[in-house]
Amino acid sequence: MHIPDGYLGPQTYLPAWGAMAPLWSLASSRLRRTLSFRQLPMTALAAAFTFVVMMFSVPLPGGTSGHAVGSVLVAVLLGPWAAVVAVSLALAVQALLFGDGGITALAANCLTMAVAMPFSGWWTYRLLARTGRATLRRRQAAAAAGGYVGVNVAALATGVLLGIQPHLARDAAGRPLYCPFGLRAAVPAMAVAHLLVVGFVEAAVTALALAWLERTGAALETPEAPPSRGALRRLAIAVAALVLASPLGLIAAARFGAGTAWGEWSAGELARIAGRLPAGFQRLAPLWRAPLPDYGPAGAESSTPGAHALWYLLSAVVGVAAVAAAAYALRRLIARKGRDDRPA
Amino acid sequence: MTALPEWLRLDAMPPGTPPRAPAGNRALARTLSAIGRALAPLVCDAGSPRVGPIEDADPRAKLVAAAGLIVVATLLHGLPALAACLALALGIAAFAGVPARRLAPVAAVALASALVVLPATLNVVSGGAPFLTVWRPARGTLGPWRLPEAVAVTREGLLVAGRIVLRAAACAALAAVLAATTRPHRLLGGLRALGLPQGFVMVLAMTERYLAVLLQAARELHLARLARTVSALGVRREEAWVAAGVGAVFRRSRALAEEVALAMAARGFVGEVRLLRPARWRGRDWALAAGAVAAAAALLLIDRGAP
Repeated sequence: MHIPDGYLGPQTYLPAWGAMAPLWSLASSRLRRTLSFRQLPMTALAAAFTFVVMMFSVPLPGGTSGHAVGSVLVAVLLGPWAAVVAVSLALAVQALLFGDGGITALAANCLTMAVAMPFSGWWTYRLLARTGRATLRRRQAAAAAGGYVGVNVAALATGVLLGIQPHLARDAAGRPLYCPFGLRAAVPAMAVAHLLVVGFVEAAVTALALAWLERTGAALETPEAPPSRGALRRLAIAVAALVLASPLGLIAAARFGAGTAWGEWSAGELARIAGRLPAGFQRLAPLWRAPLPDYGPAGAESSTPGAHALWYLLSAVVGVAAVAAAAYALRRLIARKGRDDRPA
Repeated sequence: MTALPEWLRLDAMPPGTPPRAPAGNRALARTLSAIGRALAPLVCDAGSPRVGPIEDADPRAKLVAAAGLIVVATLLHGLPALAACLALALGIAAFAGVPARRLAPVAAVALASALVVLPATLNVVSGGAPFLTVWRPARGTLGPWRLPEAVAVTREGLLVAGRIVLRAAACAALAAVLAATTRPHRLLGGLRALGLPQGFVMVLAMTERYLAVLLQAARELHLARLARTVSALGVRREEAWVAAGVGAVFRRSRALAEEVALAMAARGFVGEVRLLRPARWRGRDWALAAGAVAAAAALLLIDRGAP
């Protein structure tokens, strides 16, 4: 997943450095608050640990092997901000002392492997592990899910960074100057390998290492305090604000005459634009009728802009409620499974 | 620093029959090999040239020169300029006496890049006029993709692929020369002198120091496993063993962190980081920096006239 130098143009690696600078600063200040004077050796050892984890070859079926990144494991064991610093340092050591991995691409690699991966993995772990009684098996399953999600989010981010290169920089003849594969090639290439193989390696290492540490009595300082009421309130306010802002895209599109987003056409629109409807589209389009097509009942698009915006708001509320209900049901299911797994 | 004898080098095999991983357990051998490669330059000076013209230069000059040339390499687009940049990096490596095995990452990056961008040589990715047909598809589509009458290598595709391979190899060669000619503590001193925060540099220095300890622990773990293994276990049990190894290394790192923290406290550490000041720049360092600027300017000039 390491992007070497030469694949990303300055249009990408300079903003990546700009994005990582405040994140490194924030991570350092967060660590200073939580780890006190132990911060320096703990961070250094966590970075060295991450480096060593990347060296471990994990056997795979068929006689091959893969590597784990270890970001999610560090996030679960020490917290996500410690993972940001530790993985960044490990990548810096690789690039500077071993000449392995990019120097200009260091910040981009940190964005994917030291930020996107530990945070997405840690959030997944917390969502699934902090339900009812945290049994070992449930924490193990949550860690596996965290590892899987984390490495796939990082792979997706890497695919996007590589895939935008042909859109950002071309020579006078229109040839790409950096990574030549667009989003349509780079994202699936990264996603398929990680969804089918690498994700399971990361999941296995994260879950089994966590289980081994717990079984052998290594007391973990996992920052797993339940979220405070204030944090939940802030989350609710943020979600409500996003729901209220949801019709903005609709209003802006109407204001500037933008029409339907590119590639999101209905069968009728596509037939009108392309002059014909592809056979596969014609066959598959009627398979599923959404309850609220185009975020409203039939004919809402032709109603007044105000009414259309109201339907958008209502659809946002319904969508948020559906996602919350699905997450709640998943948590309940895992909590019940955890109780069933406990020895009588 | 005195070089370690050959038989004591950690990446060298012990005399006699080299340890072989049991059949079907290549992961164990790969891990041992990777750890050996990473450990060698950290614990002994065998991987670095003794005292050479580049080795002796101020780390700040080397950092500025290497980073500047790598940035310039990412701005080059013509094949002649990129080839010149790669030749320059390899020339510096030869001048500094960098051993060939320290340049192994360059070959690995070039080979991996060549494989990755291989599809870009085809007209289906890069377009252009075909000059070497590799496939005439019977149907006009492959899944969701529409195929041309003939899938062929094109001049445009070769240019795009060559650009990536040469640029990635040149950048990797420059980074490898920097890593091979600068001892870690001097490199970190140079980073501090260039304005990186003291805390960051100190953590990086500690990471480098304890990396060798953890790598050695991981190596012993794998060697012990190798010594006790007759045949490979199933994949699930192998994975469980790897995870237990990761857990054991984590325990070791946490215990070590506690010990180091207490040792630092015992020696009066109160949170303020102090590092040695690097020496003043000498004429040789100015010459190195000026040479890098001149090389960068020459490369950019070559690039202006290239296709």
